[in-house]
Amino acid sequence: MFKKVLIANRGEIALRVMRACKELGVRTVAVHSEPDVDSLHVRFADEDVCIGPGAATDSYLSIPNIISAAQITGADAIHPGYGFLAENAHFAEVCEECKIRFIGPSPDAIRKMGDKALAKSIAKKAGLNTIPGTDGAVDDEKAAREAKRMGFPVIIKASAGGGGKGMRVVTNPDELKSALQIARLEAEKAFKNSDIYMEKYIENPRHVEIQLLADNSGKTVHLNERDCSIQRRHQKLIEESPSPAVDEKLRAKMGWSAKKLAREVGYTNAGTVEFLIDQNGNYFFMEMNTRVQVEHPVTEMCVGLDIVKEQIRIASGEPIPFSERDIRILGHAIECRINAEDPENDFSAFPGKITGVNIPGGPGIRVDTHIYTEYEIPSYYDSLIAKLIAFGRDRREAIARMSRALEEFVIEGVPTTISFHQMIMRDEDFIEGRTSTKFLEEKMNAFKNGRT
Amino acid sequence: MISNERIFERVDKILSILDGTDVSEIEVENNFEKVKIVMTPSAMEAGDDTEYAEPMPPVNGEGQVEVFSSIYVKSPFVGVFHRTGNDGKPLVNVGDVIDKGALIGYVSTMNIRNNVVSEVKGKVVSILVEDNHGVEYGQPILTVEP
Repeated sequence: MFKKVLIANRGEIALRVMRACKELGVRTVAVHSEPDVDSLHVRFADEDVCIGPGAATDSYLSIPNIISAAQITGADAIHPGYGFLAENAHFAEVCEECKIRFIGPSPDAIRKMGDKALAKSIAKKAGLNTIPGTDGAVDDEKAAREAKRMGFPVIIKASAGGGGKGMRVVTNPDELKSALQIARLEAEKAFKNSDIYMEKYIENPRHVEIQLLADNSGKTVHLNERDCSIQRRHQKLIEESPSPAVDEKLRAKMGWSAKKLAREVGYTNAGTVEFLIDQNGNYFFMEMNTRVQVEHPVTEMCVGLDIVKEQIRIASGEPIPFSERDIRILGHAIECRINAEDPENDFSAFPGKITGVNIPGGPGIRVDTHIYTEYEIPSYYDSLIAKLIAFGRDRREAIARMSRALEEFVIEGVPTTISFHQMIMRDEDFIEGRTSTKFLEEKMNAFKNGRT
Repeated sequence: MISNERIFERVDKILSILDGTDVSEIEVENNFEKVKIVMTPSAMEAGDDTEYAEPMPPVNGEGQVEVFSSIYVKSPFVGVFHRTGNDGKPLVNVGDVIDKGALIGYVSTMNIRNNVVSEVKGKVVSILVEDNHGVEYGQPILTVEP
């Protein structure tokens, strides 16, 4: 086991990783930017190092500063969390060269799965169903030709992307050219790579992903699925496990496909294979995330495992101590992402000072957060301020617990998405499990139309 | 780095804030500078509104307000601080007068030696980091009195 782990992240995930380290008896090093000096991850770490000013490019994305911080503190491993450098193959490589263990898959696996077009071709080779689309990046001319072949609607995506940036759905040929232009600009800005590709757009699909763990001996297990269909502009807002749309048979098939892909790239550590399920129950490979996901607690609650601890154990060379047959679905878990965003105002982000907090509790409730009273939300980073997870013996109980926990959750000083989640928990279609990635858009439209 | 003119501007501002209070000593610090103002009894007695509104006279004059100002030279890198040059001797010592842009040491980051230079001209008052010790971003290395 490692002696000291540096956590190359901030916010709730830095705290989450720190908790796992502490429970494993591993010392922790927090890194932080100047505006994050009063953060809880700094406060609770054994050691902390300031790695730069507020802008992430000069701090949380600065490979030399983070590696140096590990070197001056004598950390023997780095956990990257999610976002920032978590899926940066070069960073994983530099760690390796500096004899610091990167808690994640190999640089080669990150690189292969990080290039979305390459990932798709590898998935295809491994026998997974993929969504019809262009093989690799396209120029305007090829895009027009391919769109005609596939038929509209099509979706444009950034080759290096994720998280909805650089994505555009195009419903008719007239919109194609300008959509390509905007997508390229967004991709360039977000990923410093303007390459884009195009796919057939599947209408009203569900977003269902399989959580994997793989150790260095090649043992690969799946921990069931998460349904992340409730999204706004491709950003997940509510996740749950198990999916109301997945039965035992489909779960086994999807798990098998996900593991097949992982083996194809020699995958180790935790990873997630994302699929779209169409209305007929066909599932298509979308992409693989080579890191711990924001929504990992949903799986943890549902199967009773600690994914972050498993990540650390696997990276230190330990085998996975259980087999897939041991995995039981203990109940139902739902996560609501609480963002400092104003749902009344197009979800615009809202940095500012939190003047009062009440964290909910009681049976089946878990809150992963880094906020406290008087905490100042910096404007440099994303707006996620808390993850509220409710667990129940079935979906109905999980929803009931989520509803009452949302009521108990008080955050004063900044607008949050709490009220929005309360609305969803009361929605009849959500309660009945009738969701798709279009769910929110349709609800918001209905809400707007109903109001005017 | 700050000019004398700007120091006085700020001192003036601080004094106007203190005006009417019975504060006798104040220290103000930001990333680059540290200013300490001590009101001598005569200044406090003689002080009235009009006097404080005027720009303050230079230090050491007949003035009734003493201004001590020192500036930190901070590490712009994360890494290991090295105080010595190629000849094995420290690049700066306490008491040295250094120019703006003077090399005061190195911070090695992933085997790359980065120069740390002073952003101000002045006298080295103290050296805050030991040779071969780790420094974080923004950590004060020297205090300099301009």
